[in-house]
Amino acid sequence: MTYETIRTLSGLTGLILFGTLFVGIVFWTFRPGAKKQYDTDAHIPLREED
Amino acid sequence: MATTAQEPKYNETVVKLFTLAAIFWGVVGFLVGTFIAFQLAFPELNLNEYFNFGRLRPVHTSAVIFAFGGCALLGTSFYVVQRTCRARLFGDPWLPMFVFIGYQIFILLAASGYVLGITQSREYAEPEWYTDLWLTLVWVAYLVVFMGTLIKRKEPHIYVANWFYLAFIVTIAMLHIVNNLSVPVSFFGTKSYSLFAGVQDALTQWWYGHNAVGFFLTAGFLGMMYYFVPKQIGKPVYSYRLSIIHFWALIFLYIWAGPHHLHYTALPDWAQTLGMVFSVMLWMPSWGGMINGIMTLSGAWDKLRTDPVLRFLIISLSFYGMSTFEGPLMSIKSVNALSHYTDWTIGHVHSGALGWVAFISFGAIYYLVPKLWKRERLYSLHLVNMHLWISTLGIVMYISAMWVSGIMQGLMWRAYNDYGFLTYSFAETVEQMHPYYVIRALAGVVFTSGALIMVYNVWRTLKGDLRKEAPIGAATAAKPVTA
Repeated sequence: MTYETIRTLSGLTGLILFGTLFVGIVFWTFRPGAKKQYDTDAHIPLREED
Repeated sequence: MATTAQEPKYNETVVKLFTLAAIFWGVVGFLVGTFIAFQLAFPELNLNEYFNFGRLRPVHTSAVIFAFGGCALLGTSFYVVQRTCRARLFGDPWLPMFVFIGYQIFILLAASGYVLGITQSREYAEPEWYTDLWLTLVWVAYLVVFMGTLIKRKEPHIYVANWFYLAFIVTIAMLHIVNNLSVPVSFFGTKSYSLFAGVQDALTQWWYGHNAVGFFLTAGFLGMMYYFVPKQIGKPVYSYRLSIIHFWALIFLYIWAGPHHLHYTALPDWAQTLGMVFSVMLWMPSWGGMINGIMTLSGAWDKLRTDPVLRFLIISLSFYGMSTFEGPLMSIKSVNALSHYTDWTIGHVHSGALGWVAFISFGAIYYLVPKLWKRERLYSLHLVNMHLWISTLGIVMYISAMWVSGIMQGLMWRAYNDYGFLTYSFAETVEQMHPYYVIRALAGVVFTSGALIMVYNVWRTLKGDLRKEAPIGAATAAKPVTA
């Protein structure tokens, strides 16, 4: 394998792996029904008196 | 929750110590920065080998980044993690105290080395091997305290601010260890040589260097933002979903941006392009985060009229947006050809460091001091307001002087005459920059004056004094209508 092949393959692998992972996270975050949970989570700092 | 009278709910001692240390190191860092700015404008001020520009410059950068910024980050992270997890610090009280004392020792070891000429010559990673080993030990203790507190939390969900703090702690550990892999020349000597050579060494250094910006100066302070902005406004963050996307996008992208520091060098072209592309993509999470922070004010904009502490936080977000717009722009190869090695870079760094990092820290300090020392409020909100506008003026003076100076410098360097010779010698460009160097030094005086007002205000608050004053914004509202 040449340097060029290794470089292209590693770049492609990284792109697919991280790209899929990130898109998955975005979909997971916007899954329906999670809104109520996120609203509760957002209030965590405010529930403490000060 | 029942707590005994002997044991308060949270460990606030270590937060108090870090807060005071942040204020102290902040002033030291700003003063040294102002002094070296005068040294650049008036070279006679390079007094001797111990206090010349070359040795004092890392004292300034380390004092503001690692000492001021670091103490602000460590202190606020201990405050935020306890309150959002509803749990006392792990290893309390000795392990957090070790982190505090150990970190101060690191700062002193680093700074004393610089003045004595002990340096690895790696930007923002100047401390030699013995200081690096000590910091590694302290940082592991810090990670144990933070992770341990997360694990023993009583709150089921880990609040997003802690994600940013944890990313900061873990990534800095990784960067610090890899970039400082070196072989000491002797056991009792200070000198060491890097394990890497040539362009690999350069790339390791800027992988470290840019992620120090991304994870120390950005992710850490975003953790601060996601707690103190909602608290100061009294409303939850604009969109919790956006904060999660902001987190992952920032983490996925920042780590690749480092090669933009090595445009037009021996670094392979594809790596330069990769660094540029990822830097440009960073526009999205940066602006997403800024919008998320500022829009938390939605429906409560009037608070800006009456609350100067909130003004600090919101202006800091504006500077965050501005400098994270400028950064990707400067990472584009053709723009970088003009901007690199010029004062434009210095101006860019300071719009981020003074405008974003220092201002969000000032906001957090003003929030924390009355809470930690159980005071009704700060000694004077009018002094907070004075600090705000004086220091903002200092930043604007600084960055506009450096824009003009830097772009002029870049244009003079690339100017050719009809015969293909360079139009200007290097010394001629330096001569042209003198007035801007004087403006920059004065901007340092202005910014530091603002910080000294904070010192006075905090000192009076600690003493328990309250200045009798009209509430901010109330003077105009309460004025009787005479007609």
